[in-house]
Amino acid sequence: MMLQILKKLKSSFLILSCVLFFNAQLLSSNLDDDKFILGKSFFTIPWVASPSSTTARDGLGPLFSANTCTSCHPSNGRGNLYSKDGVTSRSLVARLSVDNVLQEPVYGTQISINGTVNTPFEAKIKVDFEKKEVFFRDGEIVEILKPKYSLKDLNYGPLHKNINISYRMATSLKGLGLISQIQNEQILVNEDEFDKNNDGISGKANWVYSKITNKIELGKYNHKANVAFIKEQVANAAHDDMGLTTSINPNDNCTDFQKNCLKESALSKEIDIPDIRLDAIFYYIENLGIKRVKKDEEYLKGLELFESIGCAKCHSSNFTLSDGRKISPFSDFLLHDMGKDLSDGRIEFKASESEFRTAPLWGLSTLKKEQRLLHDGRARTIQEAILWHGGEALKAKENYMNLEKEQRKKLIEFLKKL
Amino acid sequence: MFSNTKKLLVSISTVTALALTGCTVSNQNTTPITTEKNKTILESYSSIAYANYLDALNDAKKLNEAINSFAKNPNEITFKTAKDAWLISKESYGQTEAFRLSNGPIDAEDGWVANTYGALEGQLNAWPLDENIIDYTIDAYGNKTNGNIVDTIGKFNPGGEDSTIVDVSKITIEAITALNENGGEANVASGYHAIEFLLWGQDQDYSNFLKDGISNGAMSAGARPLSDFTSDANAQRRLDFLKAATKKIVNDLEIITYALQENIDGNKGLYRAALLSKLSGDNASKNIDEKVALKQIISGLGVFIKSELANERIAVAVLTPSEEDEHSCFSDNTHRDIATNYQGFKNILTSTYNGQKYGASLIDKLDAQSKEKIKNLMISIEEKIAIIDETAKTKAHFDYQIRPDSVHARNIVKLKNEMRKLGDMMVVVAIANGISLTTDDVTDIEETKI
Repeated sequence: MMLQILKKLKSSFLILSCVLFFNAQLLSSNLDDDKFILGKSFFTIPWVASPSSTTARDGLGPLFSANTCTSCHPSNGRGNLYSKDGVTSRSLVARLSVDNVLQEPVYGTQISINGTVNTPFEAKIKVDFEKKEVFFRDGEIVEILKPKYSLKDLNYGPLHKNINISYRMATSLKGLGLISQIQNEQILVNEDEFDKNNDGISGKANWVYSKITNKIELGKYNHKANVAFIKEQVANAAHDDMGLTTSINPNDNCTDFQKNCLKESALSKEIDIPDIRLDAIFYYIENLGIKRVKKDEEYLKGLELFESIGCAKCHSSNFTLSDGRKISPFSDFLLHDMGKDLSDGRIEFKASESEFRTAPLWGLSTLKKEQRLLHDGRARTIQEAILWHGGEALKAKENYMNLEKEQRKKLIEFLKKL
Repeated sequence: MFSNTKKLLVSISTVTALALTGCTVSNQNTTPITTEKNKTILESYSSIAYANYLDALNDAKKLNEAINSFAKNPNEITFKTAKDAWLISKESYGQTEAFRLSNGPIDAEDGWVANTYGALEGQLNAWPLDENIIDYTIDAYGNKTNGNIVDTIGKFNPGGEDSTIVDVSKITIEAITALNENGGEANVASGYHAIEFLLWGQDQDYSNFLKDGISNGAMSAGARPLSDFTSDANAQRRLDFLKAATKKIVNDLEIITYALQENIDGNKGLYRAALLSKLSGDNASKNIDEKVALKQIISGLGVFIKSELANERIAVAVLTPSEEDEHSCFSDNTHRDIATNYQGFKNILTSTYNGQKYGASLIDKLDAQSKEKIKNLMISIEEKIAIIDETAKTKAHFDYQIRPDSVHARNIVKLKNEMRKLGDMMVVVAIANGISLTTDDVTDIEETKI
């Protein structure tokens, strides 16, 4: 199976061969490499149900959605909406909440689309869309897709009557280590919760509880910036998506109503991912490279256009890390109201139903056709993603729609190079 | 076998060029027999590929015959003959692995090569595997597992991600093909390692940070009892499984081997002709540009030696440390996997196979300094492989050599470090051949660092 993984990356590395990477690869040290490789191995090699004879990699489930991390983050990038066979991909998860409590009594925090042999899966996700047309002033008509996602094959009875389901697409992992090095002050300086400067853009930090520090911390990761540390997110994903326990999440993801799940869970007594391996996976993610953009004249022209219509107010381009490196993630890592069309009805710490963290735009150049944009993967193209912007971003969207067609094309071309 | 190692060390000390040999069973002749200087790199490459796959195919046929004899009359002698045939079959197949990752017939993922030959690598040599789905195991708590292909008569669900149910009333080639990687890449039902598990059974010396404390000693491999094939209730199903799995290897290897033959006959010979840009007419568009071909081969060599052999197969095993991460964990044949995989790499780099020089090679155009650097790395690597090989045969199998308290672990750690360096040197090899590569090209894309 290693072959499978290598096969996958092989086709991509041929494509990427002409791309420049941040590369401190002047091989740090073999020890660092070892940790990286170990992390990658636990990130890519399939986990199996426990107990098994494969003790280093058992503990999958009993309820889970995927059996490897790469299942949802192909080549460490964003998830796909559909698998190769055209069925809904496991990269799309259904997060549950009831009356602003982030779990459903029977199903828990998230729908598991798979179960081990003796534990029935919770439900499957059905992806459907309603087509909508968007009319530009110059007469161009563009079709966009409004998600009509739903759950089917519910194996544990009906959901709570006040259920809210937020469908979320797996995000890209590239460059996360660089984001982690941004000082909090650099993010907070752009906060403007009550829009005192009257530019129509607020920008609010998400202050979230961390299971690692047991304190309130600045949230930086995920669609609603609800997690403060990469390692914590690694542990959360292992738990919610794969049913793997860690010192951060020591219990399996079964609720009191899921008897088979509890029974199977009780069979395996140990933490599935011991700290040494969790650290290795974290180290791997933290050190994943991201493409460096060539800042040539074309880039600068594109950037000017991007800034002129107001995109950069949230998708801000520059941070300087403490070691002096300049990075351009194109996000302010703050929450913004995105309007009712994007709202997912879910409140996470300070993030309201319609507030989302500005999505970093770096890495768009490596986006493949199967990889969809926005938090629920509804947008097939960059333009579609722009067209869904509302709330604080409405003005910028309108500015985009009012551009000459040629200019719109230029802006998209610019984004495709990030 | 000890004397073989000695011979190898002698040959290393007297070596003058890169025509070093590893220590493969079929490859003990260290002197080049002939040199065909007029053959181009790509011609040599395709001839070696054909010769190597043909050997692998013939060895697989012998394995299939040995299994058939065993199935007809299972006794200790036919059992051992079958196991020996498996070990021999890995000697040639292990060398072919260096042809992977080069967009060739074994594992091309996209395009006409993939469509024509079906990327059979995953059927032939899928690894690592969750042996639970094949046959019983003893789990970490000492319990015998059930619900596997062997003990399920009727419909079988391999479990995992989006698995599909397969009828295993009879264990046939079709059934194991449908089950292979069904529900996840560790759900392996076909290929060398499935056969290995059926022949040897579990080798549970230790695992999971040595905690479970089961140890049958440093020189013991899996020891499946003969009764599993004679008196056990599922004996016949295991034999049927073995027959189907070995026949399937023969079938799959035929496709790859024929892709590399000289004459074009339908899909046979098509890949070789395309690699040598010899196709015309409707097929002309399939021809592979020489530079593209060389780039795929050189980057494939780099990724193979570095990301696959050094990292996935050696580093992960020695770092985890866990015997389930060694390549042949049931038969404890990992020392040979390392030796033959490396030999395959060297065959391609030096255009040599079974001691025979096939023609121009990738290292011919290297400057003296780089050549020296590569040569020294290879000598050092070969010494370390020889130590692993000798130790495995005399004192401790690979799974004991990787124990943190083992004096041999350092040798293995150094080996993988040197293999990484050798992989990175493929950038220099590429440049010498007029191909532009970066370190990222010889690195698995998922290993691209900040």
